Amino acid sequence: METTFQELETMTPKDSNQRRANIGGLTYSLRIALAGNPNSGKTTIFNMLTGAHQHVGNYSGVTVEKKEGILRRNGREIIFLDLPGTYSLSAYSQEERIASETLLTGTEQAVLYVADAGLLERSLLLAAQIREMGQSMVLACNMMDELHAQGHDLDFKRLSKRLGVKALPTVGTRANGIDELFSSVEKAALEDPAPPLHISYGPLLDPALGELGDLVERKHPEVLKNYGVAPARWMALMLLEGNAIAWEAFDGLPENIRQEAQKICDETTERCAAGDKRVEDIIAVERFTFCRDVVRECLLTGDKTRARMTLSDKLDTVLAHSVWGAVAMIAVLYIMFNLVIFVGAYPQEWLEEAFAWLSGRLREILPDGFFCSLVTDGVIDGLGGVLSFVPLIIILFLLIAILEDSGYMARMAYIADRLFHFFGLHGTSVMPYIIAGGIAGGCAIPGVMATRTMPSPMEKLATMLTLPYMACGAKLPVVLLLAGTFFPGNTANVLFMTVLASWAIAFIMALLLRLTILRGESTPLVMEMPPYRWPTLRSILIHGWERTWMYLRKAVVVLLPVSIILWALMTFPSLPAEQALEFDNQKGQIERKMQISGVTGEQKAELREQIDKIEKEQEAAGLRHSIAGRMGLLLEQFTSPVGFNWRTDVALLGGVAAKEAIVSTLGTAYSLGSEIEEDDAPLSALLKLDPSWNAGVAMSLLVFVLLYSPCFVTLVVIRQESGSWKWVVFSILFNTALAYCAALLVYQTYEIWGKWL
Amino acid sequence: MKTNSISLSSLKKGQKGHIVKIRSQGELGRRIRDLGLVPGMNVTMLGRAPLGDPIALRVADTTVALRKREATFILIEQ
Repeated sequence: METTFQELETMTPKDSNQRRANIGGLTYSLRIALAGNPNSGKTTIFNMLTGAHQHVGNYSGVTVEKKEGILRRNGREIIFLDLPGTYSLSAYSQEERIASETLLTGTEQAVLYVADAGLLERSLLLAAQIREMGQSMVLACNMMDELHAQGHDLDFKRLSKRLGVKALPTVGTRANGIDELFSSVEKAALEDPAPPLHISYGPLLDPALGELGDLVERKHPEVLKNYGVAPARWMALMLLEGNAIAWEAFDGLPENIRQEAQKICDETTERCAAGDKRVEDIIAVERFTFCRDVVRECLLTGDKTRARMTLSDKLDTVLAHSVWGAVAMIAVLYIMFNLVIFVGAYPQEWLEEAFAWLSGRLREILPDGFFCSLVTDGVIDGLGGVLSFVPLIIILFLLIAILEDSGYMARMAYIADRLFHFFGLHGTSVMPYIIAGGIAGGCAIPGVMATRTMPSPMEKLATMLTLPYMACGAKLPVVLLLAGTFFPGNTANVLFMTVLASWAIAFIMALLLRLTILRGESTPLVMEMPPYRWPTLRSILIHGWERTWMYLRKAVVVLLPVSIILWALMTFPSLPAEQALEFDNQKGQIERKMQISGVTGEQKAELREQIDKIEKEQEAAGLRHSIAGRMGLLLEQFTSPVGFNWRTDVALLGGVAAKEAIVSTLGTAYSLGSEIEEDDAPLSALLKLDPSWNAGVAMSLLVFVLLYSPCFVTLVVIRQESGSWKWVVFSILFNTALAYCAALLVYQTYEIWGKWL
Repeated sequence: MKTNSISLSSLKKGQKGHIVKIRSQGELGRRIRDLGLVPGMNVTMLGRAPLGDPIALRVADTTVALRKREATFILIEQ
């Protein structure tokens, strides 16, 4: 059944010099790959090992995140590569392909495998595969505290011996065992690897594995020439399983070699079928049996209680219950919604006040003119609008991190899968939707990025293209402004209705997409529901910060230039000299009047008001004359059926750059040049006074803002994650057309309704 | 095929069985096996999601969720 370590040593080890040669000029540094199942605590260990020295990028050609941490230790450079969390080394998903190919190339000198000590049997399945591949390995049995709490322990000596690895206990969340891990990994990377693990696959498969191994190792060694680490038996196993990566080894070689291999595989399959068996089943069963035997030998059982699963099970009897599960999920979402909106409102208000104060101070200090206008109207008002929403986003992303790290997110996918499935989506669409603003106040950028881990391309695209309809944090100011102005006292209800509407529309559009351009089979849902765990503060902060940073980076990198461009568009070209002169003359006349002796204080105040009025008129004329004003005026004829005036159009144009720009542009458009005589009135009051605004316009604009083209950065991310400009163009045109039709429906219904009443 | 084997999807909450055969190949078969659902393993039906689908199972100390459709590919004996 299985081989002892002594037997392992009799097999020829891979020549260490040849192995190092594959690493080329990189021998001065050590490369360690971190592998493990999802939820094994691999990322926590990675963070503990590398701290802040991380570099996040992408594997070339795919959207799988590549995380590396570089450290110096004992004068040597050590590079940790965090491989994607997978359950096996098949070639079905991008993640597995990358893990498999990275290990096969032999660029990593050792693998640090992180296993969940409480689920050792299952965790060892992948570890065994990596050892069968012949990699040096250090096995970190993580979350040992949970195993100890159950009264169990592990025989690490025996475990090390059985797998040909160095096995160690760790508790990633408390950094226990990290130092030992470090030294062991360093040692493993410098030493020759132990011979590959040999698992027997029984009388049906072992002869075929021998034959195939012989074929690729002795008869046609050119098959293995592209791989740094690939023992013949491992290749044979992959070929027998029909693994695409293994069969690619024959590409470019004479066809007869492939046929020879194919013949052996076909014969084996037939022989198995004769006994009503399948090759994949035999491999899976034998490997599992091997792992179970190892665990049985190495697990030192104390009393038989299984504390962790019991507690987790107790929670699941409610949280995954067929009735209470749904109730609990709605309650969780409702609580999150309230926390984000109402708790987030306080720091948001403070920040808004701070920016207003800063803007005011600068206006006093800086001399009047273009520069002052650029800094205050352009940069501070523009950025302030975004940055004041950061606390809200931070709260949301921290809450989402808690959901993920505690294991509840998997239950949400479980509970909502049926609903999502009905609309052509997948249980795993839940998280991207919520991040993008499903409970109000997210951001589509990390939302689109979160679709990465989704298993199927069609459902991923459908999720990615519909999640920009969600009420993201940048759309909230528009909702709050319009609700506060036209539906006073009902702000919370309007917000809630908006969120519900965004879900409904996203679902309907997803279904439409899946029935038309994104037609295709639905992807199976086969998912582990990890045991509930207390999330650590550190992991929540790291997790929450990663997404917040995506949002903040947008603020700085995109919004700053956008604010400046928008300001310029609204300022230039300035009024022609003769028109400006006319205003100046008018002002001059009044100023002269003020200087005449004998003018009373009361008269002076009246004259001052006249000057202000002229200044506002001048600004209004200026804005109309500017490029943005002209664009708005041009668009006004198309947007009058939906009730938007040219100022709204200017703001909506700004909103394509970033949705935060809508309210601030509207504000600038009104305060820069309002024909209404209300000094320093808040935007809400100005809108109320403007005769071209009413509740119908407000509803129409709300719908339009919810649905129209995603912002610039989201479009860039859609390009990146979908790999095609096609979907970018689609998002701009389709979403805007949809928004227009929906707004038209809302506005015209309101108008007709109004006439009837 | 043995006559007394039934589909996993027909198990009721709390019922147990052991897997005798996985009838799906390729990627789905691999996903199912990766989570420890291999012939010979004991499974316990834990319950259904609020809308009747997916179902939750206990296999080798882990909780696994899969849709009823996928569960029909897994044959068990009680």
